[in-house]
Amino acid sequence: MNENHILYNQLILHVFNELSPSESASFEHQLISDPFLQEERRIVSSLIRMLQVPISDGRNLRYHPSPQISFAALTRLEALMGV
Amino acid sequence: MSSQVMGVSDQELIQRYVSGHQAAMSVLMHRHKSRIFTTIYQLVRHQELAEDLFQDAFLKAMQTLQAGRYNEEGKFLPWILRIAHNLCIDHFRRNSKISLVRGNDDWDPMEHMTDTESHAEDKMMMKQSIHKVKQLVARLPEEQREVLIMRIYGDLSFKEIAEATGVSINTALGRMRYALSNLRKLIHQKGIVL
Repeated sequence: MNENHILYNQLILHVFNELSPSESASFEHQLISDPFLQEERRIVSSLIRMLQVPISDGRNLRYHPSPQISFAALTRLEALMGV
Repeated sequence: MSSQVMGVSDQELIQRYVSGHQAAMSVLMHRHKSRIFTTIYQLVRHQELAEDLFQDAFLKAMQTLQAGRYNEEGKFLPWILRIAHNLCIDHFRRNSKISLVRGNDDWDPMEHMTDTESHAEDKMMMKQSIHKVKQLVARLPEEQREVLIMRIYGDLSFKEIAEATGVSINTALGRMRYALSNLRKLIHQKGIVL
């Protein structure tokens, strides 16, 4: 794997908050001196936020959460489980 | 859910289920239902079908546990998501050429959005952009789409995705990298601003 891929993998892990504290600190140090990386992080974060469609964006829009399994389906399954 | 089982690990619940306590599986179901159902729903985009596959995934898991073939050592969620994912693929194979994650043009990801006092124009633009971006996910190659859906909607870590899909973490990350790159190309083509 080349260095760019390793760095981009770190960027993805950083956006998803999956870096360890020491890895995160190291990545953020790199981020400070790299405007390209900063822009990449901004774009990836924006994209992820759009895909997530927040329940509330904190402004004037309000969203309901994603579709959920119905109570009837859960009850049916519990009956099959013998609960 | 009883407060007595709130702190019990998945592995312990599995052991209880295997030793005859049916309710332990119900606890696992309620504990993980949102992530499992959301992941299945995002793959099939159909409420009733997703509910059927959710049920089938649990029934298959229960059969496997009862047969003593479970050896995932406490990693219940990636394991059952892998079962669910395989069931989704089986379903689409049986129904021939329908693609995993249907690109349904009628699907409106913002259909449940309600307006309080928002600026109508801003709201419309945001709605259209999000709608377009979400539709573009359906155009991604299957392996990339799978990682993206499991991470964003299933809320699995990359380590869990790697376990659920039987690849290394670097491969899972690589698939996400290509998914994001391809999405950005498509977004650029559509003139959407991120």
